[in-house]
Amino acid sequence: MHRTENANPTEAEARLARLESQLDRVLHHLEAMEQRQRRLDDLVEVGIPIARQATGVVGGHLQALDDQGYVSLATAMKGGMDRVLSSYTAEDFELLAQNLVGILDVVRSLTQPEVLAIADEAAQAIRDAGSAKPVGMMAALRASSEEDVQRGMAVALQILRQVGHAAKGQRPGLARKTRRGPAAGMDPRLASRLAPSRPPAAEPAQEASSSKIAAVSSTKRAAAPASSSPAPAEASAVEGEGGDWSRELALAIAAAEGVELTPVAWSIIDYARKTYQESGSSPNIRALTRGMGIDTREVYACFPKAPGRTLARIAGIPKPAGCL
Amino acid sequence: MTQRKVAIVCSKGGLDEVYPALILANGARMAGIEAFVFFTFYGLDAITESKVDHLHVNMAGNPSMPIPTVLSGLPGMESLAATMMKKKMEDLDLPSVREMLDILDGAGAELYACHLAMEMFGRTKDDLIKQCKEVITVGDFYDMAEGAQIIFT
Repeated sequence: MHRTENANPTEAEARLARLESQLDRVLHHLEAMEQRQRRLDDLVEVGIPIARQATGVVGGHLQALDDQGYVSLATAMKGGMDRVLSSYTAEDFELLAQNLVGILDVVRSLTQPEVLAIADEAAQAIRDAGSAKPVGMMAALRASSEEDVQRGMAVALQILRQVGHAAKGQRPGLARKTRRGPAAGMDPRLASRLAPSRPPAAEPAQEASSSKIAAVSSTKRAAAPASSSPAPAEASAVEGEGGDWSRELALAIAAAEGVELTPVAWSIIDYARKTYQESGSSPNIRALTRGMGIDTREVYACFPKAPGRTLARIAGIPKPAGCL
Repeated sequence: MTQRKVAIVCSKGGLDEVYPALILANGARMAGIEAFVFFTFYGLDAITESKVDHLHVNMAGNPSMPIPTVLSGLPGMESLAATMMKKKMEDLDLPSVREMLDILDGAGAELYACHLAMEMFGRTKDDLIKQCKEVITVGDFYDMAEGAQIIFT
Protein backbone atom coordinates (compact mmCIF):
# COMPACT_ATOMS: atom_id res chain seq x y z
CA MET A 1 0.00 0.00 0.00
CA HIS A 2 2.73 2.38 0.88
CA ARG A 3 4.34 1.46 -2.31
CA THR A 4 1.32 2.46 -4.10
CA GLU A 5 1.23 5.66 -2.04
CA ASN A 6 4.85 6.10 -2.98
CA ALA A 7 4.13 5.30 -6.49
CA ASN A 8 1.19 7.74 -6.56
CA PRO A 9 3.16 10.88 -5.71
CA THR A 10 5.46 10.09 -8.62
CA GLU A 11 2.45 9.80 -10.91
CA ALA A 12 1.06 13.05 -9.53
CA GLU A 13 4.35 14.74 -10.14
CA ALA A 14 4.39 13.55 -13.69
CA ARG A 15 0.88 14.87 -14.14
CA LEU A 16 1.84 18.16 -12.60
CA ALA A 17 4.78 18.38 -14.92
CA ARG A 18 2.42 17.77 -17.95
CA LEU A 19 -0.02 20.37 -16.67
CA GLU A 20 2.78 22.81 -16.22
CA SER A 21 4.01 22.38 -19.71
CA GLN A 22 0.40 22.76 -21.01
CA LEU A 23 0.05 25.91 -18.97
CA ASP A 24 3.27 27.16 -20.48
CA ARG A 25 1.84 26.67 -24.00
CA VAL A 26 -1.39 28.44 -23.10
CA LEU A 27 0.53 31.33 -21.65
CA HIS A 28 2.62 31.48 -24.78
CA HIS A 29 -0.54 31.66 -26.95
CA LEU A 30 -1.98 34.32 -24.72
CA GLU A 31 1.15 36.33 -25.09
CA ALA A 32 1.03 36.04 -28.90
CA MET A 33 -2.64 37.06 -28.89
CA GLU A 34 -1.90 39.99 -26.76
CA GLN A 35 0.82 41.05 -29.11
CA ARG A 36 -1.54 40.79 -32.12
CA GLN A 37 -4.16 42.75 -30.26
CA ARG A 38 -1.62 45.42 -29.56
CA ARG A 39 -0.63 45.59 -33.21
CA LEU A 40 -4.27 45.82 -34.28
CA ASP A 41 -4.76 48.66 -31.88
CA ASP A 42 -1.78 50.40 -33.41
CA LEU A 43 -3.19 49.83 -36.89
CA VAL A 44 -6.56 51.23 -35.95
CA GLU A 45 -4.86 54.13 -34.30
CA VAL A 46 -2.85 54.92 -37.43
CA GLY A 47 -5.39 53.63 -40.02
CA ILE A 48 -8.47 55.58 -39.13
CA PRO A 49 -7.03 58.99 -39.91
CA ILE A 50 -5.61 57.59 -43.17
CA ALA A 51 -8.98 56.08 -44.07
CA ARG A 52 -10.67 59.34 -43.29
CA GLN A 53 -8.21 61.15 -45.49
CA ALA A 54 -8.74 58.62 -48.31
CA THR A 55 -12.50 59.00 -48.14
CA GLY A 56 -12.05 62.72 -48.30
CA VAL A 57 -9.84 62.41 -51.38
CA VAL A 58 -12.26 60.08 -53.18
CA GLY A 59 -15.16 62.33 -52.31
CA GLY A 60 -13.18 65.32 -53.53
CA HIS A 61 -12.46 63.61 -56.85
CA LEU A 62 -16.08 62.67 -57.32
CA GLN A 63 -17.06 66.23 -56.52
CA ALA A 64 -14.53 67.49 -59.05
CA LEU A 65 -15.88 65.09 -61.69
CA ASP A 66 -19.38 66.29 -60.90
CA ASP A 67 -18.25 69.88 -61.20
CA GLN A 68 -16.80 69.10 -64.60
CA GLY A 69 -20.10 67.58 -65.69
CA TYR A 70 -18.90 63.99 -65.95
CA VAL A 71 -21.54 62.67 -63.63
CA SER A 72 -24.42 64.37 -65.37
CA LEU A 73 -22.84 63.30 -68.68
CA ALA A 74 -22.79 59.70 -67.53
CA THR A 75 -26.39 60.00 -66.37
CA ALA A 76 -27.40 61.53 -69.67
CA MET A 77 -25.50 58.84 -71.58
CA LYS A 78 -27.30 56.17 -69.64
CA GLY A 79 -30.61 57.86 -70.50
CA GLY A 80 -29.52 57.98 -74.14
CA MET A 81 -28.57 54.32 -74.13
CA ASP A 82 -31.96 53.47 -72.60
CA ARG A 83 -33.70 55.35 -75.38
CA VAL A 84 -31.50 53.69 -78.04
CA LEU A 85 -32.27 50.26 -76.60
CA SER A 86 -35.99 50.91 -76.46
CA SER A 87 -36.35 52.44 -79.94
CA TYR A 88 -34.06 50.10 -81.92
CA THR A 89 -34.72 46.43 -82.43
CA ALA A 90 -32.25 43.58 -82.58
CA GLU A 91 -32.77 43.60 -86.35
CA ASP A 92 -31.60 47.18 -86.51
CA PHE A 93 -28.46 46.37 -84.57
CA GLU A 94 -27.78 43.45 -86.89
CA LEU A 95 -28.10 45.78 -89.88
CA LEU A 96 -25.88 48.26 -88.11
CA ALA A 97 -23.23 45.61 -87.64
CA GLN A 98 -23.41 44.56 -91.27
CA ASN A 99 -23.03 48.13 -92.48
CA LEU A 100 -20.39 48.94 -89.91
CA VAL A 101 -17.58 49.27 -92.42
CA GLY A 102 -19.63 51.70 -94.50
CA ILE A 103 -20.56 53.69 -91.42
CA LEU A 104 -16.95 53.82 -90.30
CA ASP A 105 -15.94 54.98 -93.76
CA VAL A 106 -18.47 57.80 -93.52
CA VAL A 107 -17.31 58.71 -90.03
CA ARG A 108 -13.70 58.65 -91.14
CA SER A 109 -14.41 60.96 -94.07
CA LEU A 110 -16.43 63.26 -91.83
CA THR A 111 -13.74 63.47 -89.18
CA GLN A 112 -10.84 64.32 -91.45
CA PRO A 113 -9.20 67.46 -89.97
CA GLU A 114 -9.93 69.55 -93.06
CA VAL A 115 -13.61 68.49 -93.08
CA LEU A 116 -13.90 69.26 -89.36
CA ALA A 117 -12.26 72.64 -89.84
CA ILE A 118 -14.79 73.56 -92.54
CA ALA A 119 -17.67 72.23 -90.43
CA ASP A 120 -16.45 74.28 -87.47
CA GLU A 121 -16.39 77.44 -89.59
CA ALA A 122 -19.88 76.68 -90.90
CA ALA A 123 -21.10 76.04 -87.36
CA GLN A 124 -19.73 79.42 -86.33
CA ALA A 125 -21.84 81.03 -89.05
CA ILE A 126 -24.90 79.15 -87.83
CA ARG A 127 -24.20 80.24 -84.23
CA ASP A 128 -24.11 83.83 -85.46
CA ALA A 129 -27.36 83.33 -87.41
CA GLY A 130 -29.31 85.45 -84.92
CA SER A 131 -27.34 88.57 -85.80
CA ALA A 132 -27.57 88.10 -89.59
CA LYS A 133 -29.50 90.79 -91.46
CA PRO A 134 -32.00 89.83 -94.18
CA VAL A 135 -30.58 90.58 -97.65
CA GLY A 136 -32.21 91.25 -101.01
CA MET A 137 -31.42 90.18 -104.55
CA MET A 138 -28.83 92.92 -105.06
CA ALA A 139 -26.92 92.03 -101.92
CA ALA A 140 -26.93 88.39 -103.03
CA LEU A 141 -25.56 89.45 -106.41
CA ARG A 142 -22.88 91.61 -104.79
CA ALA A 143 -21.94 88.77 -102.50
CA SER A 144 -21.70 86.41 -105.44
CA SER A 145 -18.67 88.34 -106.64
CA GLU A 146 -16.75 87.57 -103.43
CA GLU A 147 -14.26 84.81 -103.92
CA ASP A 148 -15.21 83.01 -100.71
CA VAL A 149 -18.88 83.03 -101.62
CA GLN A 150 -18.05 81.75 -105.08
CA ARG A 151 -16.00 78.91 -103.65
CA GLY A 152 -18.80 78.15 -101.19
CA MET A 153 -21.30 78.05 -104.02
CA ALA A 154 -19.04 75.68 -105.93
CA VAL A 155 -18.85 73.39 -102.90
CA ALA A 156 -22.61 73.57 -102.34
CA LEU A 157 -23.25 72.78 -105.98
CA GLN A 158 -20.85 69.86 -105.85
CA ILE A 159 -22.62 68.52 -102.77
CA LEU A 160 -25.98 68.91 -104.49
CA ARG A 161 -24.58 67.13 -107.53
CA GLN A 162 -23.33 64.21 -105.46
CA VAL A 163 -26.56 63.98 -103.48
CA GLY A 164 -28.58 64.12 -106.67
CA HIS A 165 -26.38 61.51 -108.28
CA ALA A 166 -26.77 59.20 -105.31
CA ALA A 167 -30.52 59.86 -105.16
CA LYS A 168 -30.93 59.01 -108.83
CA GLY A 169 -30.20 55.36 -108.13
CA GLN A 170 -32.63 55.24 -105.19
CA ARG A 171 -36.27 54.28 -105.49
CA PRO A 172 -38.99 55.13 -102.98
CA GLY A 173 -39.49 52.26 -100.53
CA LEU A 174 -36.01 50.90 -101.13
CA ALA A 175 -35.04 51.35 -97.50
CA ARG A 176 -37.95 49.20 -96.40
CA LYS A 177 -37.11 46.52 -98.95
CA THR A 178 -33.53 46.25 -97.78
CA ARG A 179 -34.76 45.85 -94.23
CA ARG A 180 -37.39 43.25 -94.88
CA GLY A 181 -36.41 41.38 -98.02
CA PRO A 182 -33.69 38.81 -98.62
CA ALA A 183 -31.43 41.72 -99.51
CA ALA A 184 -31.43 42.89 -95.88
CA GLY A 185 -28.00 43.98 -94.81
CA MET A 186 -26.80 44.42 -98.34
CA ASP A 187 -24.59 47.42 -99.01
CA PRO A 188 -27.05 50.23 -99.87
CA ARG A 189 -25.01 51.20 -102.90
CA LEU A 190 -25.26 47.68 -104.27
CA ALA A 191 -28.94 47.51 -103.35
CA SER A 192 -29.68 50.74 -105.19
CA ARG A 193 -27.82 49.47 -108.21
CA LEU A 194 -29.93 46.34 -108.28
CA ALA A 195 -33.17 48.14 -107.50
CA PRO A 196 -34.34 49.42 -110.94
CA SER A 197 -36.55 46.71 -112.37
CA ARG A 198 -35.41 45.27 -115.65
CA PRO A 199 -37.84 45.52 -118.54
CA PRO A 200 -39.38 42.29 -119.85
CA ALA A 201 -36.91 40.38 -122.01
CA ALA A 202 -37.01 40.86 -125.75
CA GLU A 203 -38.99 38.42 -127.84
CA PRO A 204 -37.43 34.97 -128.08
CA ALA A 205 -35.12 34.34 -130.99
CA GLN A 206 -37.05 31.45 -132.52
CA GLU A 207 -40.04 33.70 -133.18
CA ALA A 208 -37.78 36.16 -134.93
CA SER A 209 -36.33 33.50 -137.19
CA SER A 210 -39.65 31.76 -137.91
CA SER A 211 -40.61 34.26 -140.60
CA LYS A 212 -39.30 37.52 -141.90
CA ILE A 213 -42.49 39.39 -141.07
CA ALA A 214 -42.44 38.07 -137.52
CA ALA A 215 -38.81 39.05 -137.24
CA VAL A 216 -39.57 42.61 -138.23
CA SER A 217 -42.63 42.93 -136.01
CA SER A 218 -40.85 41.46 -133.00
CA THR A 219 -38.02 43.90 -133.42
CA LYS A 220 -40.50 46.73 -133.58
CA ARG A 221 -42.21 45.53 -130.44
CA ALA A 222 -38.91 45.27 -128.62
CA ALA A 223 -37.80 48.67 -129.84
CA ALA A 224 -40.97 50.46 -128.77
CA PRO A 225 -40.65 50.13 -124.98
CA ALA A 226 -36.89 50.52 -125.20
CA SER A 227 -37.14 53.91 -126.85
CA SER A 228 -39.42 55.30 -124.16
CA SER A 229 -37.48 54.06 -121.13
CA PRO A 230 -34.28 55.54 -119.67
CA ALA A 231 -30.81 54.61 -120.86
CA PRO A 232 -29.67 51.70 -118.63
CA ALA A 233 -32.87 49.71 -119.06
CA GLU A 234 -32.85 50.50 -122.73
CA ALA A 235 -29.32 49.23 -123.12
CA SER A 236 -30.05 45.92 -121.47
CA ALA A 237 -33.25 45.41 -123.42
CA VAL A 238 -31.66 45.99 -126.77
CA GLU A 239 -28.40 44.27 -126.01
CA GLY A 240 -30.30 40.98 -125.94
CA GLU A 241 -31.83 41.92 -129.25
CA GLY A 242 -28.37 42.87 -130.52
CA GLY A 243 -27.14 39.39 -129.66
CA ASP A 244 -29.68 37.94 -132.08
CA TRP A 245 -28.73 40.42 -134.79
CA SER A 246 -27.68 39.05 -138.12
CA ARG A 247 -27.22 40.48 -141.60
CA GLU A 248 -30.26 38.51 -142.75
CA LEU A 249 -32.38 40.05 -140.01
CA ALA A 250 -31.03 43.51 -140.93
CA LEU A 251 -31.98 42.88 -144.56
CA ALA A 252 -35.47 41.79 -143.54
CA ILE A 253 -36.01 44.87 -141.39
CA ALA A 254 -34.58 47.14 -144.11
CA ALA A 255 -36.95 45.58 -146.65
CA ALA A 256 -39.90 46.18 -144.32
CA GLU A 257 -38.76 49.81 -143.91
CA GLY A 258 -38.40 50.20 -147.66
CA VAL A 259 -34.67 50.80 -147.42
CA GLU A 260 -32.18 49.34 -149.85
CA LEU A 261 -28.89 48.47 -148.18
CA THR A 262 -26.04 49.80 -150.35
CA PRO A 263 -22.37 49.17 -149.46
CA VAL A 264 -22.27 52.65 -147.87
CA ALA A 265 -25.36 51.76 -145.84
CA TRP A 266 -23.68 48.56 -144.66
CA SER A 267 -20.55 50.47 -143.64
CA ILE A 268 -22.74 52.89 -141.68
CA ILE A 269 -24.55 49.98 -139.99
CA ASP A 270 -21.25 48.34 -139.07
CA TYR A 271 -19.86 51.61 -137.73
CA ALA A 272 -23.00 52.29 -135.69
CA ARG A 273 -22.96 48.77 -134.19
CA LYS A 274 -19.28 49.04 -133.39
CA THR A 275 -19.77 52.43 -131.73
CA TYR A 276 -22.67 51.09 -129.70
CA GLN A 277 -20.74 48.03 -128.58
CA GLU A 278 -17.72 50.11 -127.61
CA SER A 279 -19.40 53.11 -125.97
CA GLY A 280 -22.78 51.72 -124.91
CA SER A 281 -24.65 54.49 -126.74
CA SER A 282 -25.86 54.74 -130.29
CA PRO A 283 -24.16 57.38 -132.47
CA ASN A 284 -26.28 60.28 -133.71
CA ILE A 285 -26.03 61.47 -137.28
CA ARG A 286 -23.33 64.02 -136.51
CA ALA A 287 -21.26 61.37 -134.76
CA LEU A 288 -21.59 59.18 -137.85
CA THR A 289 -20.60 61.89 -140.29
CA ARG A 290 -17.67 63.04 -138.19
CA GLY A 291 -16.52 59.58 -137.17
CA MET A 292 -16.71 58.11 -140.67
CA GLY A 293 -15.73 61.28 -142.54
CA ILE A 294 -18.86 61.20 -144.69
CA ASP A 295 -21.39 63.88 -145.55
CA THR A 296 -24.80 64.29 -143.91
CA ARG A 297 -26.25 63.86 -147.41
CA GLU A 298 -24.86 60.33 -147.69
CA VAL A 299 -26.50 59.29 -144.43
CA TYR A 300 -29.83 60.69 -145.60
CA ALA A 301 -29.33 59.07 -148.98
CA CYS A 302 -28.92 55.65 -147.38
CA PHE A 303 -31.71 56.07 -144.83
CA PRO A 304 -33.95 58.77 -146.30
CA LYS A 305 -36.72 58.77 -143.73
CA ALA A 306 -35.74 59.41 -140.09
CA PRO A 307 -32.17 58.16 -140.60
CA GLY A 308 -31.22 57.92 -136.92
CA ARG A 309 -34.17 55.75 -135.99
CA THR A 310 -34.19 53.67 -139.17
CA LEU A 311 -30.49 52.95 -138.87
CA ALA A 312 -30.90 51.98 -135.21
CA ARG A 313 -33.74 49.62 -136.05
CA ILE A 314 -31.82 47.93 -138.86
CA ALA A 315 -28.58 47.76 -136.84
CA GLY A 316 -30.37 46.34 -133.80
CA ILE A 317 -29.26 49.14 -131.44
CA PRO A 318 -31.25 51.70 -129.41
CA LYS A 319 -32.27 54.87 -131.19
CA PRO A 320 -29.74 57.65 -130.57
CA ALA A 321 -30.45 59.97 -127.65
CA GLY A 322 -30.15 63.77 -127.79
CA CYS A 323 -31.45 66.59 -129.96
CA LEU A 324 -28.89 66.53 -132.74
CA MET B 1 -50.20 58.49 -143.37
CA THR B 2 -49.61 61.84 -145.03
CA GLN B 3 -46.09 63.28 -145.02
CA ARG B 4 -45.62 65.63 -142.06
CA LYS B 5 -44.09 69.01 -142.80
CA VAL B 6 -42.94 72.01 -140.75
CA ALA B 7 -42.25 75.59 -141.83
CA ILE B 8 -40.04 77.40 -139.36
CA VAL B 9 -39.79 81.19 -139.33
CA CYS B 10 -36.56 82.52 -137.85
CA SER B 11 -37.12 86.23 -137.23
CA LYS B 12 -34.48 87.09 -134.67
CA GLY B 13 -30.73 87.06 -134.93
CA GLY B 14 -29.57 86.35 -131.36
CA LEU B 15 -27.52 83.24 -130.82
CA ASP B 16 -30.16 82.05 -128.36
CA GLU B 17 -32.86 82.76 -130.90
CA VAL B 18 -31.30 81.19 -133.97
CA TYR B 19 -30.32 77.85 -132.38
CA PRO B 20 -33.86 76.79 -131.45
CA ALA B 21 -35.01 77.32 -135.02
CA LEU B 22 -32.12 75.33 -136.43
CA ILE B 23 -32.38 72.52 -133.87
CA LEU B 24 -36.13 72.25 -134.45
CA ALA B 25 -35.57 72.02 -138.19
CA ASN B 26 -32.84 69.43 -137.84
CA GLY B 27 -34.92 67.46 -135.35
CA ALA B 28 -37.77 67.42 -137.83
CA ARG B 29 -35.51 66.01 -140.54
CA MET B 30 -34.14 63.38 -138.17
CA ALA B 31 -37.71 62.34 -137.42
CA GLY B 32 -38.50 62.05 -141.10
CA ILE B 33 -40.49 65.27 -141.21
CA GLU B 34 -40.06 67.65 -144.15
CA ALA B 35 -38.71 71.00 -142.99
CA PHE B 36 -37.81 74.40 -144.35
CA VAL B 37 -36.65 77.55 -142.57
CA PHE B 38 -37.61 81.08 -143.56
CA PHE B 39 -35.09 83.67 -142.33
CA THR B 40 -36.54 87.15 -141.97
CA PHE B 41 -35.63 90.46 -140.31
CA TYR B 42 -32.67 90.00 -137.96
CA GLY B 43 -32.95 86.27 -138.41
CA LEU B 44 -31.39 86.97 -141.77
CA ASP B 45 -28.07 87.49 -139.99
CA ALA B 46 -27.94 83.74 -139.38
CA ILE B 47 -27.56 83.07 -143.11
CA THR B 48 -25.54 86.19 -143.93
CA GLU B 49 -21.96 85.18 -144.69
CA SER B 50 -20.37 88.08 -142.78
CA LYS B 51 -22.62 87.73 -139.73
CA VAL B 52 -23.15 84.02 -139.18
CA ASP B 53 -20.02 83.52 -137.12
CA HIS B 54 -20.60 86.61 -134.98
CA LEU B 55 -24.11 86.21 -133.59
CA HIS B 56 -24.60 87.58 -130.10
CA VAL B 57 -26.78 86.69 -127.18
CA ASN B 58 -29.62 89.13 -126.66
CA MET B 59 -29.19 90.42 -123.11
CA ALA B 60 -31.24 93.59 -122.69
CA GLY B 61 -34.81 92.83 -121.70
CA ASN B 62 -34.02 89.16 -121.25
CA PRO B 63 -35.33 88.25 -117.78
CA SER B 64 -33.52 84.91 -117.86
CA MET B 65 -30.12 86.61 -117.90
CA PRO B 66 -28.32 86.21 -114.59
CA ILE B 67 -27.31 89.89 -114.45
CA PRO B 68 -29.50 92.98 -113.99
CA THR B 69 -30.78 94.61 -117.17
CA VAL B 70 -28.99 97.91 -116.38
CA LEU B 71 -25.65 96.13 -116.61
CA SER B 72 -26.49 94.41 -119.88
CA GLY B 73 -26.14 97.71 -121.73
CA LEU B 74 -22.49 98.08 -120.79
CA PRO B 75 -19.99 97.80 -123.63
CA GLY B 76 -18.76 94.29 -124.33
CA MET B 77 -21.46 92.60 -122.28
CA GLU B 78 -23.18 91.00 -125.26
CA SER B 79 -20.03 89.64 -126.77
CA LEU B 80 -19.02 88.39 -123.34
CA ALA B 81 -22.32 86.55 -122.99
CA ALA B 82 -22.00 85.22 -126.54
CA THR B 83 -18.48 84.01 -125.82
CA MET B 84 -19.65 82.27 -122.67
CA MET B 85 -22.54 80.61 -124.49
CA LYS B 86 -20.29 79.52 -127.34
CA LYS B 87 -17.83 78.09 -124.84
CA LYS B 88 -20.61 76.15 -123.17
CA MET B 89 -21.79 74.85 -126.54
CA GLU B 90 -18.27 73.83 -127.42
CA ASP B 91 -18.04 71.90 -124.16
CA LEU B 92 -21.26 70.13 -125.05
CA ASP B 93 -19.86 69.48 -128.53
CA LEU B 94 -22.75 71.38 -130.13
CA PRO B 95 -22.11 72.38 -133.72
CA SER B 96 -21.63 76.07 -134.53
CA VAL B 97 -24.42 77.94 -136.33
CA ARG B 98 -22.49 77.63 -139.57
CA GLU B 99 -22.09 73.88 -139.12
CA MET B 100 -25.73 73.51 -138.09
CA LEU B 101 -26.76 75.22 -141.34
CA ASP B 102 -24.57 72.84 -143.30
CA ILE B 103 -26.03 69.85 -141.46
CA LEU B 104 -29.54 71.14 -142.20
CA ASP B 105 -28.68 71.50 -145.86
CA GLY B 106 -27.27 67.98 -145.91
CA ALA B 107 -30.33 66.68 -144.12
CA GLY B 108 -32.54 68.09 -146.82
CA ALA B 109 -34.02 71.02 -144.93
CA GLU B 110 -34.38 74.02 -147.24
CA LEU B 111 -33.25 77.48 -146.18
CA TYR B 112 -34.93 80.60 -147.57
CA ALA B 113 -34.28 84.32 -147.14
CA CYS B 114 -37.03 86.91 -146.84
CA HIS B 115 -37.23 89.24 -149.83
CA LEU B 116 -38.41 92.26 -147.84
CA ALA B 117 -35.73 91.88 -145.18
CA MET B 118 -33.06 91.58 -147.86
CA GLU B 119 -34.20 94.90 -149.31
CA MET B 120 -34.35 96.51 -145.87
CA PHE B 121 -30.82 95.53 -144.99
CA GLY B 122 -29.53 96.15 -148.50
CA ARG B 123 -28.26 92.60 -148.98
CA THR B 124 -28.05 90.54 -152.13
CA LYS B 125 -28.08 86.77 -152.63
CA ASP B 126 -24.26 86.96 -152.82
CA ASP B 127 -24.13 88.16 -149.22
CA LEU B 128 -25.81 84.97 -148.06
CA ILE B 129 -24.26 81.59 -147.31
CA LYS B 130 -24.30 79.13 -150.16
CA GLN B 131 -26.78 76.80 -148.47
CA CYS B 132 -29.55 79.42 -148.78
CA LYS B 133 -31.66 78.12 -151.63
CA GLU B 134 -33.61 81.17 -152.65
CA VAL B 135 -34.89 84.63 -151.71
CA ILE B 136 -38.67 84.41 -151.45
CA THR B 137 -41.62 86.65 -150.61
CA VAL B 138 -44.14 86.05 -147.89
CA GLY B 139 -46.59 84.85 -150.54
CA ASP B 140 -44.08 82.23 -151.69
CA PHE B 141 -43.61 81.23 -148.09
CA TYR B 142 -47.31 80.51 -147.66
CA ASP B 143 -47.42 78.57 -150.92
CA MET B 144 -44.57 76.40 -149.74
CA ALA B 145 -45.99 76.03 -146.27
CA GLU B 146 -49.23 74.57 -147.53
CA GLY B 147 -50.12 71.60 -145.35
CA ALA B 148 -47.20 72.37 -143.01
CA GLN B 149 -47.20 73.27 -139.36
CA ILE B 150 -45.74 76.76 -139.00
CA ILE B 151 -43.35 77.48 -136.14
CA PHE B 152 -42.39 81.09 -135.44
CA THR B 153 -39.25 81.75 -133.45
